[in-house]
Amino acid sequence: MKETSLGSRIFDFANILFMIILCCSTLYPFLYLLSMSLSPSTVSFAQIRIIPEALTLENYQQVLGYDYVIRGFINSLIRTILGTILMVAFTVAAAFVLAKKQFPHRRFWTMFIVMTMFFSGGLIPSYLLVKDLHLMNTVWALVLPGLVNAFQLIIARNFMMSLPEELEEAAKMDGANEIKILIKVIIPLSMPIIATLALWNAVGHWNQWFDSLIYMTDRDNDVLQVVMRRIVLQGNMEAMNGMMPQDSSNINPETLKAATVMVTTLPIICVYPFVQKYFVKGMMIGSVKG
Amino acid sequence: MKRKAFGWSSLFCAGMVLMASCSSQSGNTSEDNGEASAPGDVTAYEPDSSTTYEIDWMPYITEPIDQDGKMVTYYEDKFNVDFNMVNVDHANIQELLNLKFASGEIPDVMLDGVSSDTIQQLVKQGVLLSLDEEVLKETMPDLYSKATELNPNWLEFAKVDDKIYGLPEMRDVYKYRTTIVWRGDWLENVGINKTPETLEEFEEALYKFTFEDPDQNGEDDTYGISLSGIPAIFGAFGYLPGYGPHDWQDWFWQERDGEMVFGAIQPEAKEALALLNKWYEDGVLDPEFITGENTGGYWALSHAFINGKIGFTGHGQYYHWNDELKNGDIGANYDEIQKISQEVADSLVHGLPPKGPGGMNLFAPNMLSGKIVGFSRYLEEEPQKLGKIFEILNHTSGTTKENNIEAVMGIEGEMWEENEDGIRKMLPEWEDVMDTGAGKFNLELGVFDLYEIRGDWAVEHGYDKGTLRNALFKPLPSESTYREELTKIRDEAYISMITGDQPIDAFDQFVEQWMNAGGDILTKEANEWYATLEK
Repeated sequence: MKETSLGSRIFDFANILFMIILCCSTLYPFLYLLSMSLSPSTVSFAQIRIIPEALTLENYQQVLGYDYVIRGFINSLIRTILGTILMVAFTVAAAFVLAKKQFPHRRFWTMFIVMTMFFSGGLIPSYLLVKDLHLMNTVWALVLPGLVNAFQLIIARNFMMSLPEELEEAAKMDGANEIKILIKVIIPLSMPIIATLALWNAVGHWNQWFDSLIYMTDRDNDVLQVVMRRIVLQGNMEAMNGMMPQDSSNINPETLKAATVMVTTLPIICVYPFVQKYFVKGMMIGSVKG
Repeated sequence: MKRKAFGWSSLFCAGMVLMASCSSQSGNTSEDNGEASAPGDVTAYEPDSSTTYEIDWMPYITEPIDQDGKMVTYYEDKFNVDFNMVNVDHANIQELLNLKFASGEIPDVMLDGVSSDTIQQLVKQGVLLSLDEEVLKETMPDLYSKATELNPNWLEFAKVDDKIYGLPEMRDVYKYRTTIVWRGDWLENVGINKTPETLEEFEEALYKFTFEDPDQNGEDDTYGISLSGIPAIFGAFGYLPGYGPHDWQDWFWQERDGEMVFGAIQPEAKEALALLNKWYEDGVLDPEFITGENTGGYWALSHAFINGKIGFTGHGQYYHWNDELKNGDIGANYDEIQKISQEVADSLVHGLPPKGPGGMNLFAPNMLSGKIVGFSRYLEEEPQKLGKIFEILNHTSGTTKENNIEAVMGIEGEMWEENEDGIRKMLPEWEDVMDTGAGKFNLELGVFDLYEIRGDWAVEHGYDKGTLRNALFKPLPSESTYREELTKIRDEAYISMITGDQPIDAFDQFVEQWMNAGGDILTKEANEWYATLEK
């Protein structure tokens, strides 16, 4: 039965209004950037509004015609795909083992992994490690250090523990070994959690830039976010640095910057709607049984 | 790569085969410095012509440099060296460099990351190589003599405990003071025919800008002055406090009766604050002055001015406000205003700072830019390689204007051409190529005049008048300990006095607080240094 007292209706109304305002305020900067990226450079940024006065695709053409951006795009793509596949594979494999009741010292290993969530080596040791493993300037420097995330591992483990044990027993009766059970039984049933992990990691890898900044010294290896950062920061970094301004006849390329931001953000936004349904499901199921 | 370089050159300079030296960078310190380290022994710095030195070169990057960039390979061939371009993002440079230093990696040449703010700390960390002035004189004869002629105290700026730890950069564009720009159409609309000159005339114009609807839109939506105009007002009282939109001005020392004093704590500043407080209360000072006029993007843009909220500004440098010059150079602010209205852009008036009881003063940078080019301490073991680096720098930055232009712009005829007006223009296919390495192998010293047209424009518009320079051009020993806190104290006190949160009499309390928070120590250090200067 729907509650329709005046108080609750006012509450609903306020709630909806609040959500609409919240939506608008989150969408506004995005729309502003979109409008800016579509404006020709002869329009002053002071005149750019949500609805652009003049439209042009010139900015996009310029951004996409720039080989540094294209290289960055490819690097990001490689990193995201490789990173996501490996990460999901390793996380699922580890979670499968940890979910097994007969796994010796299971509690200890779980605690061991949880501990890493609270203590980490820090930036300098990580850097030294990557450097001494000769991973600098390779995609592995971006993929390997964060290969298995403790938090995600626990979620995946919990999900798998929630699967009925009888399924596994039945498979065993039919003569399946552990590997077969994982591939034929567990993975198909774990699709929601796998999709969740994949989305988390894909977004994470796509948006991550700091590791690339540290580990890549060759411009050809920069990921897209670093490329974008460089383009966007160009011009205002002197002011941030507190040093004397570099002599510069800088002509404000704000529209170009906006186009760059759009180019880097759109691909990953496009992934969301397709994985959304798994995402909610995977999170819920993983979280219920602790 | 780095290790191999170490292996090879230690082999040459020490004359022994020490394979063990390849395994550790710091491990070979003790074995190698036998022959080379006699101070002033210039022959040790003579590069060996048969060796290809491998040099880790870290430029100031706006865009990372390609290892095979045009100018990179050009200079590699020319000097028989192998550059390993170290691309470290400028925006995070301290963080990234510290990581590298912590892992024992120091780029041989650092054209970024070492500055007056950081040099002391880097010396403490043992990162930087100390340089011998005699050696500099001998190995970079042209550069040394030209730079010293331009500014005899040049190297003073890179000294920590009387040792030189790098080559300070200088910029000739800093001959000129910061900006004073009026909207000419506003002046006209409120009935002022003469560019304001005295403090009283400034005040009159600013009040009219606020109350007489200078943009004639029938709304009360304009202000007289915002943050960037404030330094000019202080200047009229004689002492610059460094309070303004640009943090490169915020450490300002002047001479007073033969002593070094900090501008912000002088009694004259109190009078200026009282005036600003009155303006704030009358609504002439933009209430948003605290956050300044720039709302993002390129730092030198004054959005408040461009959008017609204020009609007087001091934001950025003169070259952000010039109309299109002969070589196509156009100021970023001018360009933006032009997009909205050509008439407004045409009406811009460049004036002088206001004349007040303390004269007419505005910040003009020292030629010293604050940037120092540093060298890796590992080079101590490889004097020949250091000699090679000095040879390159001397060539690109000290020998001739042609060589300097080549280093800054690239190869003439191939990458740029001089047109019939005598203006150097990039050729179309190189116009957008940023990763060639052009401008990455030279020091900026201002010994060659590369900005003739712009400089002429500045003089024509009076930017050489009313200049006041920071009398302190050396980092003080305890500066890194206290400066940040002192700047914060100043800003808080100034803002609260201007907005009336605190009475103007709180100034005396502020001075006391400033002194107690380390200001007295720094003042003492500044005077100790000042006494050593030749006057």
